Amino acid sequence: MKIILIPISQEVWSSKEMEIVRRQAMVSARRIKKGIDVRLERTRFTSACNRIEELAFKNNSDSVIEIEGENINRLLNTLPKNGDSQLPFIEPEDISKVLKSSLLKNLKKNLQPSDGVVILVEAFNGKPNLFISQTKSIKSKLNTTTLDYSVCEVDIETLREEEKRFHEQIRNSIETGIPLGWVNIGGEGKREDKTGLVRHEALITSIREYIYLRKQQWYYKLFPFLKPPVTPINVQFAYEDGTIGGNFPLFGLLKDTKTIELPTIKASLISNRHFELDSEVDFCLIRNSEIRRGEEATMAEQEQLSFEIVYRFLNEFIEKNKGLELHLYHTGLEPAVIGTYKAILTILLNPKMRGKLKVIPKMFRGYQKGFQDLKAWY
Amino acid sequence: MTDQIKSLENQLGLSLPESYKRFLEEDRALINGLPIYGVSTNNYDYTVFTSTQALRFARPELPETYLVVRFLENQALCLDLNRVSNGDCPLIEIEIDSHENPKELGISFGQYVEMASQGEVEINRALRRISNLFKSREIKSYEHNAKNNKVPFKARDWKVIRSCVHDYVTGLSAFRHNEQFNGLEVDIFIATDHPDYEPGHGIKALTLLLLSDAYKNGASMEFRFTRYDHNSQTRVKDRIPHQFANLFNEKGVTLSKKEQGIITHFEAVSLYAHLVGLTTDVIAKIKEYQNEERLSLQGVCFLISSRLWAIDEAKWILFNAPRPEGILFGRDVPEDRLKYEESLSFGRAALAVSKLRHKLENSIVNEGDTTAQIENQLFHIISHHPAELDWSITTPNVQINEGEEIIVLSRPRRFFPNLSQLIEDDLKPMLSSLKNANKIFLLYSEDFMEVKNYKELAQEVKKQKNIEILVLPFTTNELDGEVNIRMRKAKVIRT
Repeated sequence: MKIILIPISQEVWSSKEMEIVRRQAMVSARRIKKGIDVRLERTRFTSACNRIEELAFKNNSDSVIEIEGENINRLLNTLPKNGDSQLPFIEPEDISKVLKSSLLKNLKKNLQPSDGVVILVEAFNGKPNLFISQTKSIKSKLNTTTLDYSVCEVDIETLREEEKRFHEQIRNSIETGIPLGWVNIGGEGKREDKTGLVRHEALITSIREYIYLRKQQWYYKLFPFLKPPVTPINVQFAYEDGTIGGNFPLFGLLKDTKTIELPTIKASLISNRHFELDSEVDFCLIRNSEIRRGEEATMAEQEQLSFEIVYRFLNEFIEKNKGLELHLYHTGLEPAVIGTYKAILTILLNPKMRGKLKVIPKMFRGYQKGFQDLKAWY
Repeated sequence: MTDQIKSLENQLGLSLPESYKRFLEEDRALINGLPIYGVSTNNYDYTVFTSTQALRFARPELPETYLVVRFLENQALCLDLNRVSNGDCPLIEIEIDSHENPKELGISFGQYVEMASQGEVEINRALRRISNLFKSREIKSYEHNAKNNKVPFKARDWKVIRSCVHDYVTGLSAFRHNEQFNGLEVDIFIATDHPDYEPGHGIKALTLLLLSDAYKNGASMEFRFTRYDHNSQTRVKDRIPHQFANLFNEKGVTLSKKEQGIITHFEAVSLYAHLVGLTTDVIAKIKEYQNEERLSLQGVCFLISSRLWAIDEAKWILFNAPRPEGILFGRDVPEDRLKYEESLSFGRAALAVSKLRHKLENSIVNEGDTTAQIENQLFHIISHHPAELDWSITTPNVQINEGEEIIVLSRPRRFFPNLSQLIEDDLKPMLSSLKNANKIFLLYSEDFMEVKNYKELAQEVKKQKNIEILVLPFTTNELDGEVNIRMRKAKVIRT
């Protein structure tokens, strides 16, 4: 085992997101200690700690301090504790206390008293000899993303506030890796630090703008037989219960303008939610009893389950029937919507399936207007 | 009936053996709860005539002397009328949708009927005893649609357990936790096998069920067999059922109090360990931890038996993790972040290998089993069928031959600080295996693909050490979610 310390400058430490997730971790630790909603708070605590570690690693992976062997115990004895909880960070105001009581002389050399520190655990490797080593240069760096939203066909300035906010969230997630929903951008007052996603309709219309490959080099347009390299950028969704879902691939699809006749199926997303849909649709993609949130399932698990169910169905149907035009009637439940569209994208990203799937989302607009078609996914 | 039998013989052009004729004349239609076809349909889809004709149509290359008495999925149970001796003939099984040779079952039809009759006597005796338990009001009854939604059973109340495989009853037992000796008191124990599964699975399943119940409810795992004596109107000691005692003999466990109908705590624990598949080296390792009062052998057996952890996952964790009880029994909690992260990492590594095995077992090329052995930190996996693996960064499709051993080191992690040193450290446990195996894999989670130049790094490792880097199609977050659920469920189980 190794302990890895990442020094964080005061500026980053007090950034908005870092502050939110640190506060979330501390609030959850306090609530766990009090025995309030322990299961939920543990999930939130874990998500917050994961996020703190990600932010720290992204911010400063070049200069980390590794601690091994007996020194680990020496350090652990000096770390501040929050009840029975051990937080994965040391606040700047506690650093001088830790440095004072710590017997680790090299630690004092490498840490500034104004720094905050985030603590990571490397479980597998560790050397029996005792030393502190500081790595000066690290070759590994996370992929940095260049900003290019030319694929987005809408001018977000002209959109409704809610949709505009969601576009901002998506772009923020693409640029920083922050899961969608962690920070409610543009939220005010009480909602400021509350995790929040927008309604599923806005979610589907907005995120569709980012599924296609971004601006291509001129020669790909000139020589269409040259296939451009596809490296999707993944975003993740954070849910209200603190869990974070799997990767949602954006910027991965080549625009496919071919239109071919495909067998059509009308399906609602989840059964038993809107009975008025029963006469409209052929079947339901997900059974309500499968997806309903029991004792064990977190929202991220609901997303994964929806993904698996829909992916299996689409895969099998397309293989047997050579294609599918799916008229998808929405019924709600964020994780199910996200899991379903993740499955649709995964199928579309498969070169063998390209051109064989077209999904037309159908949104309810009231009893007089009925269902309205949104932009198709294909 | 005699006329009908003669007519059947004429229609089929066969002479039926006496044992089968007797069965028909007794007007029976079931053996062990499964149908045996006769001259009339008896509400089944087939008569013996139509089923035999169906076999002749499906397998025209076979002799016409096979008389089909039952279809079970694609298997036809047949009497081989070519080998009639003393009015009886052997039973064979034929696959109707393949060209496999008929399979000898090693018993004759007469013996099959006789064994079933003996079984029926035992079942009736067991049912009578269950009925007596109900009559003497020792078993509480309740309604499934009761409004208070409470089952009025306590561990100390008698309960009847029916164990089934695909709706086929393979075991019947009645037992309770007896607070006087703090163990399990058993009244009825009978088990049989489902015809589609390996011999002995029925008794193994029922025994595991009882052992798990004993662990869950009592501090001791002692078993006492008793019966209700109508004369003295008390419960008296009973003999240990033969099949149960034989199970101990097969596993090399000697019963010291067999005459008293008692199985001691240690004998039960020993059987439990054998039945879940723990080997002697693992048992020895667990006993080391047991001496330090960190976990118990029966506790680990319970976890494996409840399928919270697979046996190979548990074994790897026991030999490699610094606090196996923290992971297996979920004793490390999220709020103690550093310890929890360490435990989670080991749980994640074990789970990643299970995912790899699952991938091999469900390979696009072929489906089948894999077996694994653990050597220090490494998994040695053998695929018992040809498989294809598309998780490698450097090779699009790695071909795994049937029976070929692959060596895997599992290191799924979220962050990769000081990458070159990290990979060098990861490779160390594998270096001694380089000469002995063709295919050695370093298994990372999807997060590895976030590292800049990961492809070049993987190619370098492949070039220099001939080790492939595999990337699971799961992130550490996804693996952690699964490990976390297991730890949460295990947390309520005593070590």
